[in-house]
Amino acid sequence: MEDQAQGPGSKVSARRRLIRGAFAAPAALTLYSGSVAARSINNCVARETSGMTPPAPGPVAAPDTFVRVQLQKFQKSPTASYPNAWSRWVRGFDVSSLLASGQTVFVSGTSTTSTNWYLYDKGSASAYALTPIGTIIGTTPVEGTTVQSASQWVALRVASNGDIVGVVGINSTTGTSAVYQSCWTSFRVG
Amino acid sequence: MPRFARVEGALVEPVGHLWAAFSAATGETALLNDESAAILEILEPGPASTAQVCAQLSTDSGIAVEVLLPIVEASWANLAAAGLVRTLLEPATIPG
Repeated sequence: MEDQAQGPGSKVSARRRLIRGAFAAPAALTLYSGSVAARSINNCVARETSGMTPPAPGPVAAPDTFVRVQLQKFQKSPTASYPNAWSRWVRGFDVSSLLASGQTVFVSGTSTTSTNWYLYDKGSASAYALTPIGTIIGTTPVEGTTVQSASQWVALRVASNGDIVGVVGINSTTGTSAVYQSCWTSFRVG
Repeated sequence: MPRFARVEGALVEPVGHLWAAFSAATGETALLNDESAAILEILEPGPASTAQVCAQLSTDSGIAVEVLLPIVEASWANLAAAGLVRTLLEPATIPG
């Protein structure tokens, strides 16, 4: 029986699709389970972080929390000295916006503010070439206004006392995310 | 006699020869055949018992109600597990 070749906007009726003289057992096959996906994502994060170098010891009474923030990328106009002048940062505002009311998060003992910037990757030849990774900058980086939010996300590991105790890759020069992109597909900020 | 209701927020859309049904209650999406989708369609205006559902299915399919009753009765658990229908408990009565 032809499907209802009705005009646009007409609703297709399952009852009209039933074949006269036949009735199969009603079937419902689950295609996608949100709860299964959530468990899968948590397993993905746990698997990715299991081989990491443990962060500095912190309170162990409560488990650490992972939060995802997007990197901000700055790029200065190329110069002879800095032909590829770019750097990537974690914006303090993105961290503070995730905090519950009354909570504070700290980096290296300094409380975060929405105006702080944290150097994540100094780039190959940026103005921050001599600046240690993880340095807190209290003003917008000198490269200028944000070129774009980098298509990369990092996982900040936050101890129960509010300390950001880890961003995998921050002490290396690779600038890789703490967790592979695929683990974060279904996470939402806020 | 229990009645069955379509779960609020359930969305059913045709996908080729089948139907995709999303349950807002569970966040799950299920693939339905015409028979399951027809049952949900019958429940859309309001709750109904198995017999009432079968009466309408009998009109649509030409199959006798007696034949449909065990088939539909057996399907409620699957549809409930998919988060698409729920059983309405009959109010308890105190014998007078």
